[in-house]
Amino acid sequence: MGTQVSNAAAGPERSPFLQSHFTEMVQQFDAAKIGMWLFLVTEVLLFGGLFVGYGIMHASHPEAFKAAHHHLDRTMGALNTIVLLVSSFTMVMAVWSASVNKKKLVVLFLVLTILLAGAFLVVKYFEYSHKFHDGLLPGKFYTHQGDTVPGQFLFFSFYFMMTGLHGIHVLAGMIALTWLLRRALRGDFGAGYYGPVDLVGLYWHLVDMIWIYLFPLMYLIS
Amino acid sequence: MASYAETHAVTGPKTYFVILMLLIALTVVTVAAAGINFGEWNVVIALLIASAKGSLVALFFMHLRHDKFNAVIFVTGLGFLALFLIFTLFDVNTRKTVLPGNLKAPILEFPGAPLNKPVQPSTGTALGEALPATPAPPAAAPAAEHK
Amino acid sequence: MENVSSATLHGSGHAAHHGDYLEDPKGLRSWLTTVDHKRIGIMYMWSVIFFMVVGGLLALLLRLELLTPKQTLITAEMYNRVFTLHGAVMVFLVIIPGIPAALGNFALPLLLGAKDVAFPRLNLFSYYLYVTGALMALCTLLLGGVDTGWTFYTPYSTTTGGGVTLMVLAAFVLGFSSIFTGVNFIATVHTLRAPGMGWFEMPLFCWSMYATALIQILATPVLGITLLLLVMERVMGVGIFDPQLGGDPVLFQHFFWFYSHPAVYIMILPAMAVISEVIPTFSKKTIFGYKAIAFSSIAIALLGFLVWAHHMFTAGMSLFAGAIFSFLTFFIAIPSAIKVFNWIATMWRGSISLRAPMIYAISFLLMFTIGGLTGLFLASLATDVHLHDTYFVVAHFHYVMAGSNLVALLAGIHYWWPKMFGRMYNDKLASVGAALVFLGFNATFLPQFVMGSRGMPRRYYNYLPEFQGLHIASTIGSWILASGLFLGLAVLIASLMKPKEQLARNPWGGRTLEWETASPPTTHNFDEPIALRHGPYDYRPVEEIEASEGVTR
Repeated sequence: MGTQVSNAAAGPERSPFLQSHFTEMVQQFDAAKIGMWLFLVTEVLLFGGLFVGYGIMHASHPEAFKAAHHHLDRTMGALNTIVLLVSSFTMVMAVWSASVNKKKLVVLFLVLTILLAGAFLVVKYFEYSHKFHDGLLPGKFYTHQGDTVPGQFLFFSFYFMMTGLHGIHVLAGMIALTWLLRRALRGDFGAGYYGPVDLVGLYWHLVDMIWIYLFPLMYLIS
Repeated sequence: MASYAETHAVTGPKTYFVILMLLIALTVVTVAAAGINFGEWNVVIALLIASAKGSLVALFFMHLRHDKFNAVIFVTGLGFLALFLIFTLFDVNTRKTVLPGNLKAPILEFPGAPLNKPVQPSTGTALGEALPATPAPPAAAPAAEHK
Repeated sequence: MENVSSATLHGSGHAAHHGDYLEDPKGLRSWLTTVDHKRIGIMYMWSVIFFMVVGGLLALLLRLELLTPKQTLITAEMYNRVFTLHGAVMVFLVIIPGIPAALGNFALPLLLGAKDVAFPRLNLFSYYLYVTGALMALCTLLLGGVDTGWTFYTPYSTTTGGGVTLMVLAAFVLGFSSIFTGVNFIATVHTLRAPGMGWFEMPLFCWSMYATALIQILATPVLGITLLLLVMERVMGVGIFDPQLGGDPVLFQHFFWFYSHPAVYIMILPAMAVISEVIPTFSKKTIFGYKAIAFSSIAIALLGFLVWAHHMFTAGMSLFAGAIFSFLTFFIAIPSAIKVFNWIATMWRGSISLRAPMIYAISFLLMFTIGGLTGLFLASLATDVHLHDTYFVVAHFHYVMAGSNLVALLAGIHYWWPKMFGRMYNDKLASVGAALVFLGFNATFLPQFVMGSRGMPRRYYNYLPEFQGLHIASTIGSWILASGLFLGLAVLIASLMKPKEQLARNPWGGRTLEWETASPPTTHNFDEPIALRHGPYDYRPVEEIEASEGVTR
C-alpha cells in the first residue's frame, strides 16, 4: 500500500488533481500537509489562550470553580469523550481505506464519522439545555439561585466559551466531512490521491484532542 | 520529510483499533481517578492522563511518529503555548493581589457575583477576612435589570 | 525536472505561452477572482496605499489639532476617536499587511523561482478577509467611532460605548487574513524553492519573510482569542478581565501584548527583508554576513516572544516579572544591531548609486537605529517609569513603525515598481520625495522625544503652553512628511500614465531571480525552466560567473 502517490506524478500524465504551480503530487501533498499542520498550530494557540485564561481564573477562584463544576454531568461528558474518540478512529480508518484504494470503505467510514460527530452535538445539546434551564449561564446571564460559594458564573463563562468554540469546530468539521463524502461518492479518492481526506482527518483529530483536555478540566476537577 | 507512501506503510487497522481501546481505557481511568481524593494532585493526574491520550492521538492517528517535520511544527506550537502560560504566571503568581486595593466598592450586579474583596490568587479567600458564608440575597438583584 | 505546465489550477488545459500577467486575462472580473500571487500582491498594494492615505490624513488632522494647547479644530471626544482610528488603520490595515501581503506576495515566489505561492486560493481568500476587516473597521465610524486607542485596554474598552465590538471583530478578521498569508509563505518556502536552491541560496528577503510568517502563525491566534474574550466581556460580562467580577485587567494586557509585541516584529522583519535586497543591489556588492543576517531574522522572531510585558512595567505587574522582561528585552538589541552592522558593511566600499529605493533604504538605516536605540531607554525599568505613556514612547514607536517599516515599504515599492508594471518612474522626482520623507519624518518626531522626556503625556488633547513650540515644530514636520509622501505617490502614478515601453528585465542590475524574467513577468513567472547559475548576491561580472562551475555565492 501507499506506493502509488509518487508513481502517479512521475508518469508522463499529470494527475488531474495536480495544481499547475506544483511539479509533482508529492510536492503538492507535502505543501498541503505543512499548511494544515501550521493551521493546527494556530488552532492550538487559539484554544490555548482560553486554556491559559481558564487556568489563571481557576487558580484565583478555586473554590468557585470546584463548586460550579459539580453542576456538570460527568456521565454525559465521558460519553461524549468516547463518542469523539471512536469518531477519530473511524476518521483514521477512512484515510487508511483511501490509501489502500478501498473506495467503498472510505464512504462508509466517512458516514460513520459524520454520524458520531452528530451524536456528539446531540449530547451537547442536552447538556446545554439543562444548563439553560437552571440558569447556569456565563457572566451576567447567570441566574442560578442558592449558591453557597460566590463567583461560580466565572466557571460557566469558561465552560460555555470553551465548549462553544469547540462545538463550532465540530460543526465546521461536519461540513468538511460532508464535502469529503460528496467527493468520495464521486470516486475521487484512491491510492493516488487522498490528500483532502488526510487533511480533514488531521483537523478532526485535533478537535478530538482539544476535547480530551476539555473533559478533565471541566468535568473532573474536584 | 516523510512522503505519503512512507507515512502509511506501517500503520493499519489493527494498530488503530488497539489505540482506540487504549484511549477508551484511559478515559475510564481518568474518570475513576477523579473519584479518589488526591488533593492538589487530582488536576495534575487528570492532565497527565489527558496528555497521554493526546500523545496517542497525535502519534498514531495523526501519524506524527513517521512525520518528524510536522511533529516539529506541532511541538513548536505547544512550546509557544507553554511559554505564554509560564511567562504570564511570572507576573500573576508573584503579584500580591489580583485586584488593586484601591478599587471602589464593586456593584453586586447579579446573584453569585459578590466578589467584593481583593482575592489572593492561590487560595481564593479574601484578604484579611473570610468570605461571607452566604452571598447577598438573590432576590435583591434580579438579572433582568443589568445592562 | 519538468517544468512545463499542462494544467491550470482548475485542471483545464492551457497553452504553454502566457502573456504579461497584468493583461492576460483582461477584465475586472479576472482580477477579482485571480489566484495569481502577483495580482493579489498588486491588489493588496493599492489597498494598503489607500489606507495609508486615510491613516495619513487622520494623522495630519491630529497634528493640526495639536498646533495649539486648547481646541484648534476638533473636540476632545473627536480627538480620541481620530487617534484610535489612525492607530487601528495604520497598524492593522497598513503596516502589518503592508510589506508581507503586498510586496511579499508579489516578490516571494519570484525570488524563489516558483510559479505561485503554495495555496493560491487561500491567498485570494486572505485578501478578501482583509477587505472585509477593513470595511468593518471603517463601519465603526457609523456607530460613533471608537475611543479606546488601538490597544483596546480593559476595563475602559469593556465599558465605553461606540463601535468597539465591531472594531475588535474587524481586528479579529484581519488577524486571520494575516495568519493565512503566514501559512502560505512558510509552505511556499519549504516546498517551492527553485530546483537547486538550498536554504542558504535563498535571497535574504525570503528568510525574513519566513521569520515574519513564524510570528504571524504563532502569535496572531492569541490576538484572535483575546479579542473574542473582549467581545464576550462586552456582550456577556464573562468576568475574565473585569476586576469587579473577580477578573484581572492586567491579564488582558498580557494576552494583548503576547501578540502585539511580536507583531512589532511582524512589522519590522519585512522591512529588514526589503532592505536586505535593496542595499546589495545599489551597492553592487555581495551582502556582508549572509548567515548572520539570516539567523538574526529567526532570532528576532523567537526572542520577540519573550519580551512582551515590557509594555506593562507601570500597569501593576509584579516587580519580579518586570525585572525578567526588562532583562530579556535587551537581548533583542543584539540581532537587530547585527543586521545594521552587516548592511553598513555591505555598503562599505561598494559602488553605491543613490537611486530612490536606495535613498529610502539609507533613511531606514538611520531611523531604525534611532528607533532601536531609544527602545533601550524604555526597556530599562527605571527610566521607563518616567517615560511610560509620554511622547517619548510615541516618537520611539513611530521611528520603528513608520520611520522604518513605512520607509522600507516605500523602498520596496520603488524597487520592484519597474518589475510590477514594466514602467520606470521619474527617479529624480522620486528621490526628492524620498528626501522630503526623511526630513519631514525627523522634523515630526525628533521634537516628540524632547517633549516626552520633559513629561508631555501621550494621547492628551490639551497640553501645557511650554510644549507649544515643540508641537508646532512637529506639526510643520508632518506637512513636510505628507508632501514627500504625496510627491512619491504622484511620481509613481504618473509613470503608469506613460505608454508601456520595452523595459529591460533588470533595470537595477539585481542578481536575484525576479530580474531574470520579463518586466512585467508573464502569468507563470518564468518562461524557461530555472537554472540557478549564481547566488542571490553574486555581483561578479556575468562572464566570470558563466566561466565558473556550479552555484557560488
